[in-house]
Amino acid sequence: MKNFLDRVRPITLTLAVVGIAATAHGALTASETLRVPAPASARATSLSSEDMALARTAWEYFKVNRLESGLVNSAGGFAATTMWDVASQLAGMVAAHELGLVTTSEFDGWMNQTLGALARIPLYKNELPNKAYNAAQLFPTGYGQVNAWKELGFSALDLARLALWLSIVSDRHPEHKVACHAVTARWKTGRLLREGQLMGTDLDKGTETYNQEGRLGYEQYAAHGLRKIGIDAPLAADGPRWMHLVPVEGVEIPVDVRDTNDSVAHNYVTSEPYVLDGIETGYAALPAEWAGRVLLAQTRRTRRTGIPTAWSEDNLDSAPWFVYNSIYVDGREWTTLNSSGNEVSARRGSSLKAAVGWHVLFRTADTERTFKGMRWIADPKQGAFAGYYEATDKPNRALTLNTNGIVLEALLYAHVGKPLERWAAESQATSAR
Amino acid sequence: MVAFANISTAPRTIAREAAGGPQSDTHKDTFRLPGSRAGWRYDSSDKRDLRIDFVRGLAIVVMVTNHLTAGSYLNAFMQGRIYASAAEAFVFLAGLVLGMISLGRLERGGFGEASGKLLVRALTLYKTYLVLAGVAAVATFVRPGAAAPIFESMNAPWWRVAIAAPLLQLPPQIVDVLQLYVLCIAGSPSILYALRRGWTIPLLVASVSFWGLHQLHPYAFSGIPLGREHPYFALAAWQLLYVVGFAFGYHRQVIGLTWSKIPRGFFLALALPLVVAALVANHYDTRLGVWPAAVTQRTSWIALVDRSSLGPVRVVTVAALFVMLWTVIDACWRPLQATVGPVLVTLGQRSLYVYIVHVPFVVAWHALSLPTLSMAASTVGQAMVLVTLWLMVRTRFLFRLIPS
Repeated sequence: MKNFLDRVRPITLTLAVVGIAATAHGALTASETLRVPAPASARATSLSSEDMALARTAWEYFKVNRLESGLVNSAGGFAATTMWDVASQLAGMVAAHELGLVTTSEFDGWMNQTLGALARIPLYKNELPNKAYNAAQLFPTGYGQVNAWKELGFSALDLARLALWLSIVSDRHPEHKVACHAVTARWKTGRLLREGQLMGTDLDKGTETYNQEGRLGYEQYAAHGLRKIGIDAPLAADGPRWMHLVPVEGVEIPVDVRDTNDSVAHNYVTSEPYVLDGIETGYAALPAEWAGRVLLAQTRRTRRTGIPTAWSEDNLDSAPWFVYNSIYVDGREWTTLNSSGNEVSARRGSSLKAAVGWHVLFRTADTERTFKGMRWIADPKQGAFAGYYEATDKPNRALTLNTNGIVLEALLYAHVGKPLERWAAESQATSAR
Repeated sequence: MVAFANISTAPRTIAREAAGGPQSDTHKDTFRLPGSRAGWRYDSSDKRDLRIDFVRGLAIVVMVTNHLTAGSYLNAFMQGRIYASAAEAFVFLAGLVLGMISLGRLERGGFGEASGKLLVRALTLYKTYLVLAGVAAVATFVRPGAAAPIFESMNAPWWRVAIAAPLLQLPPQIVDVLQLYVLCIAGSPSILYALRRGWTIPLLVASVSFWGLHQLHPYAFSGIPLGREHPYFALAAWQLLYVVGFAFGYHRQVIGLTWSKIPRGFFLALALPLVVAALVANHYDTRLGVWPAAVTQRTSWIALVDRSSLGPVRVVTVAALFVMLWTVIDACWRPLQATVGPVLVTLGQRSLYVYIVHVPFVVAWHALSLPTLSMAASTVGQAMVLVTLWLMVRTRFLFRLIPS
């Protein structure tokens, strides 16, 4: 009997071990895919050699595309920029300085140039910065028409992001505070706000339209940014007022109730505002729980399809050149629209800026896998590429200031271990010098 | 990274081995390969298996040159060429040697004595880790960068570091593998208990399961250390090498017999294609960065070869590489012993000592900006460090102070 038990016990134990492991796997899988993830406790980390290599690559974009004006091309070799892109430029420069990629003297000189350029660009109707500029010669242009003077109107969303980054630069580097203030001091901000909502203009063939701007996500992120220049937009900031939950991949994600049935604007749900809000403000503008839901839907898609998913708006390296990869838009899931609102789902794909952003914020096994899988999509001499196409499984080789700036600011977030707005306010510029 | 199993109680050298000097409390000749050319093959009745010391010495050379960062000829040859590093060999060998030794102790003094010795060893390594990490941390607080590359800077207040260090939550580069050893060896009494009870299969299944769970859920079993995204030598993954090594060491006689019945050609036929495949894949993946070209496939591949998680491809590569190395060393022992043996075996027999004393060399190397040296100069520099380490062992420099 004893011999029998001695023989049976290892088998029993083996079965027990397998059972425990299978149970643990099931429980962990359920935990990772059922529970809405929360942002990881932010704490400073030493960047790995691979992450530092990515930071150096992203900084190469800045060096290669720097113009004599101090501004940086918004796309590789294309001397145009927007105020959103200028914000990404400031983000990248601040990050590069903190990560030791640029000397203090070079940083200061470049920052002076940049802020000086922003302080003297011609404003749209002498009111606010135009939507696009020739970044080399500093005159207003249309999108994609860099050599002709053209006024397009202004964008509250773009200006809000710039205001936020001017505030961060000003806090972190008080020696540039006066120059930062000079940029916004000449703005006439009265038309940025109407009845508590953000407003923008479009000028087409001499006729200006004046529209509410922003949908859930971008709108609240922008409302927070505009507070930096004393503009309070209570309706725009009130996310819950515009939000309803829509199931995608079995996850109830936040979607704007306003869609193309009652306005011309699309209610894209994409990663960018949630990633930027987390990194820059620590979810002061949008609830972290909403971000967790947007991430979880993408995690479940990754697991269901095996396709690494980090969807965002992004440039492409071929026509139609710019798309909104939307987790949800206008009643449809996983839909990619071009700038005109037409579906171009054959060009769908994930963005490096979203992958790195989600990972530094949430640090899950899935975000790590997606980020590591996309981290190498770059040309070390030109910069990090935008992402990859799902249809071809090949890199989307678009080189943009926005991607490289956001990559750098995300790595800075990981490096300093706190939202950049708070980090800048708390830190003493002198301690870094 | 080094195998810190204390396998000797007396100083040993090749000369003493050859002279038939006194043998210490060591492991027996284990996996001798029959059929080798009689004049070349390893053939010793010594308790201590010098082939293990040889492999450890080889791993030490790889480890030291890799830690002395430089674009040297040595690194060009030995760094990042395959999905394996010195660390995997050290961890496996530590388990193997402790498995052998613990069986002997078990037979002589019982489970209590064998377990006690294991815990004493874990304590020695724990104290070593505390001293090395502590000195580096204090130096970094006093002058950031002074202890690079162990710490570049301290991103936390001193009291958090002081709490994290004894809890093994401080991730000092170069030194962090000690944490893995401490935990593995501290857990060894449980491994020994299972083996003694005849629960080898359940033990191995548990180890593989733990490793497998880590592959699928890498954040579930590893606390995030202070100042780093995740532990570099994740216990849940790396314990696999140690536990398998320990079980092999414990069952050395059975495994040695089985090994001796299988023709050498079989092992080579099995291992060589895998090693060649790993070399080729690594070349196109790491060196050229052109394969796998599809993003989705590359994402999966990166997870399979991940070092901190000891991905499946690394496990297979390490196993094949070890089998191939062992086969060759066993078959060509005499010429190897006569040429590089005096250096490698000497270093391998004092692996913990060499590991400890190489740390200040690494710090000095970085402080003097030697990583920027030319290829030839850095090769000479690395060779000089290796020779110095060997001389330190031969002259028993500070042996009374530094554990070995």
